[in-house]
Amino acid sequence: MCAWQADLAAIFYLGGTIIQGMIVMNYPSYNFERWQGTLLLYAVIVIGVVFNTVLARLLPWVEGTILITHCVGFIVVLVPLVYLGPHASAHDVFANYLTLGNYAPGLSFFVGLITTVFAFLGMSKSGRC
Amino acid sequence: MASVFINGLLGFGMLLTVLFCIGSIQNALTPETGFTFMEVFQEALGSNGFATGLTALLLVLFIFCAVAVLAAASRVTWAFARDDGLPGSSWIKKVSPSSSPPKPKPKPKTLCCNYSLPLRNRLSLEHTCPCIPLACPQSFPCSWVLSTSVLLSPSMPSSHSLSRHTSDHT
Repeated sequence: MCAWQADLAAIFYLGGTIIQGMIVMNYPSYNFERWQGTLLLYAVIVIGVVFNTVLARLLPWVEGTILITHCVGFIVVLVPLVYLGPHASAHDVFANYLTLGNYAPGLSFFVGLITTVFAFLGMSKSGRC
Repeated sequence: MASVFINGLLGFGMLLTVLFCIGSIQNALTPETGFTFMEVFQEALGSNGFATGLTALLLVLFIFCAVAVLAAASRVTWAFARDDGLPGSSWIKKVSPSSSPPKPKPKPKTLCCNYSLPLRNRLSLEHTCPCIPLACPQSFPCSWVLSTSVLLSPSMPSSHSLSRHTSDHT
């Protein structure tokens, strides 16, 4: 349960800071402040709470929207990236190992693994339903 | 389970795409916006507008995902409180007489109490953000290991097998 709460906090945090990242990207004069990210995060929390309390009837609709956005988004993101983006060589992608941290490669691998586990949270959810 | 495999394949495809299109790794590691994927979008598409559009798509996904996770986390909190596993359980597990018992979806009034929990959690955690990415992915596998080992242990009475309860599991 603690993990669920922490997961929730992490997702809200990402939502808030992504909005802030978009502002930084479009307004170069904007000064990045952490507390503004926190306020945006609260805005995302408000959206979540409103959808789960006042608009609880819409939850199935939300799930459907996630599914459609997910499928459409995969293509929408993939196609421009492949078509317009720079192309690295296969050697760079599969055989080039970089260890830019201060640790030994093995330790770096395991530290990096923690981030990857975040993606497994979704899997646990689909397994639960 | 099939959805897990499909998603795994899609995820691997996306991983390869990003790896091929990442451009300058140094730029991607020190993004101005704070997010590597935005930097990759910007560099690959060469336009702020396009990159913003794609990021907005992800943002919609994130916000809706937060809505769904909020519901799930509140259900877990409520279920745990029903077993008296939390401080203040009696307050959290209370179901308002005006709303029916929270099944299959917890009703709004009960959840108002539960929703304040993540909020409060958030308030206290906001100054210790680095601990979130650590606490979250590590405690999840730990909880899986615990629950699977309980389920797999031979001393588990058969009457408590999962299949019996799947029918009322939402």
